[in-house]
Amino acid sequence: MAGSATSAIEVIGRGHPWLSLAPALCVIAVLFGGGLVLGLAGSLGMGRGGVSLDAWIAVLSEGRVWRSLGLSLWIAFASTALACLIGLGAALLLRRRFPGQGLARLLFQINLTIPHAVGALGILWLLSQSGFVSRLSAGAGLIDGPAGFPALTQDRFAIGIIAHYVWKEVPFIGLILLANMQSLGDDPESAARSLGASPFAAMRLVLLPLLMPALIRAGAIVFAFSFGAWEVPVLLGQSAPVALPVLAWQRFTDPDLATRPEAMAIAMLIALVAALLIRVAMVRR
Amino acid sequence: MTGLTLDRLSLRHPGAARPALEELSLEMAQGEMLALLGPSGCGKTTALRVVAGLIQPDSGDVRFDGASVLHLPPERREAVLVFQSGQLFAHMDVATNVGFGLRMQRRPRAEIAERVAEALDQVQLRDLGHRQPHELSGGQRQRVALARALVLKPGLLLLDEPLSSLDAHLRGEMRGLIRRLQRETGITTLVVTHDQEEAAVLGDRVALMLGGRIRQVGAGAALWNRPADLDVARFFGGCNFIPGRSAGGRFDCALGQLALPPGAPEGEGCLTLRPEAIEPGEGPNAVTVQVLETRFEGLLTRITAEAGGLRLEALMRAGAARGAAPGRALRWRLPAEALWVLPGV
Repeated sequence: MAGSATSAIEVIGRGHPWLSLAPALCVIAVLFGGGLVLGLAGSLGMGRGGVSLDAWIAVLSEGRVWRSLGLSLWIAFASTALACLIGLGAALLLRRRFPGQGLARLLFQINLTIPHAVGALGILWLLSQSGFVSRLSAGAGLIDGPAGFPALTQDRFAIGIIAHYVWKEVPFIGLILLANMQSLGDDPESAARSLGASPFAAMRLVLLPLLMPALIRAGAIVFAFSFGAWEVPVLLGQSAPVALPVLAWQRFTDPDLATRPEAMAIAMLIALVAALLIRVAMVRR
Repeated sequence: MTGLTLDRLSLRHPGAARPALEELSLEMAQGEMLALLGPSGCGKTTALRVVAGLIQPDSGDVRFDGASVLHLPPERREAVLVFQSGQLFAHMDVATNVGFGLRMQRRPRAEIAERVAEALDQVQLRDLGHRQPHELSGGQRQRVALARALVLKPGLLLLDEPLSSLDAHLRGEMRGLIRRLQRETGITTLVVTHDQEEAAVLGDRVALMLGGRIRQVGAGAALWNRPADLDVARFFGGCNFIPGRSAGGRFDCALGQLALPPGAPEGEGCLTLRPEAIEPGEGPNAVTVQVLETRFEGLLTRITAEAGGLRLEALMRAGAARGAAPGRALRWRLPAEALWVLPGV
């Protein structure tokens, strides 16, 4: 009966917000919450008879883990800072009206559709010592051979990894900021100008603070991803130390099943550190 | 205090069918308060932004005290624009908002604090300096926006629909405040509005803008009662238009011969009178009408009637409208002083 169908929808619609959110929350709880709980349980050695902190103690007392954590933090911070800075600059340029603006925006956004692994291979092809830029430089006589080209991939400073994340996330940041600027409109800046602010002062004192919340949120997403993803560091990172997610992956796929709880503990550590840092960034606003 | 001249301003937004401004000319004396009145989309806000320097016109000139300011960016013009929505900066408290312009002028902190307190006092928000904009009511926000402009003691104050976001009660209060502050400070003020009543109350003079041009400028009453043409009359709610011929102080038309006020233009034309000017009963210029329809509009009742093949509309208070029922014949008086001839229409 049509009547009962409407009333069911009405009940859900008018009910407590938690009730309305229940269907979505169930999916999230099972898929993500379930994964988290299982991961945590695994890290505590549950399912192997009893609960123990052995894996956590082993992980936290291991120098390699701390070095990997440091590397991952460096990758995530550097990628996020650069992506935010360049994305903001690009958004400020692209919001102005100019001929060919549509094409410029399209080109700017196009790599959003390219998978990370493909992008990482592209970076490898471009920036490695046997890559395109290296050969070009050698051809131009700038360097003697591939060995003379600075190590930009599989390097100590993770430049290749950071380059990839920046390349991939700048359009993401830019897109979010452009949408934000569109909804703010020109009026806040116009009001500041009319009150005597120069174009630069209007941008610095009025527009940027208004964009800050969106920038921090977008930055948090970039940070969480570049901190926790493993495929790019696998392709572009050096062999030691490896990024923390790569270390978790190695432990997880180790033939020795005894390292599984450690893999889980490292994964939990990644989630915990990311959640904590993002929380701090948001609260400080 | 700055005198303002708009000289044949024209502007067409890219892709728009009609120009936003078409040869717009307007003259404001120092210390004057002028209401720029027009329906939405007539270009009045665009005109205001051109004066503020936020939009460049395609042609024409904007002069402050006779000197062109077209080459000056907004921050170097002596005009401050108060936006319709107030545009308070959401990340600054009230005092910082009000002090923003002074900070841009690099005034010393102590002076800023003193002048901000003074400005907040002027708009009766003395103790709210530490509040955040989102903690204010709509009326308070508008007053902060006003204080933020007044604190700079600009030569020219531009107000864009300052009352449209307020409810009726606050509107009256704010109207009084704007009038009072303008009298006290003597700042030349151009206020844009779509509301006829607001224009009449706020403006020393009212300029009516239709389709990108100024159609008539004058005291409020002149625009209501002595419209320059049919469009102006229609904009102010004129609905009685009687074609005929004016000669020797009389108007020959389908209603007979009507006496005109002294100084009425001669020749072919269109007689107009405001619906609320029609009075019931006998007297000079009385005509017999047949009531077609009555409509209750709150304080007044609108009566549509027919006489000599013409439709007439009258707005009357409840007492005067009593007895008007569809189909009945009534005698209406068209007072000579309320008649106005639009020549050549």
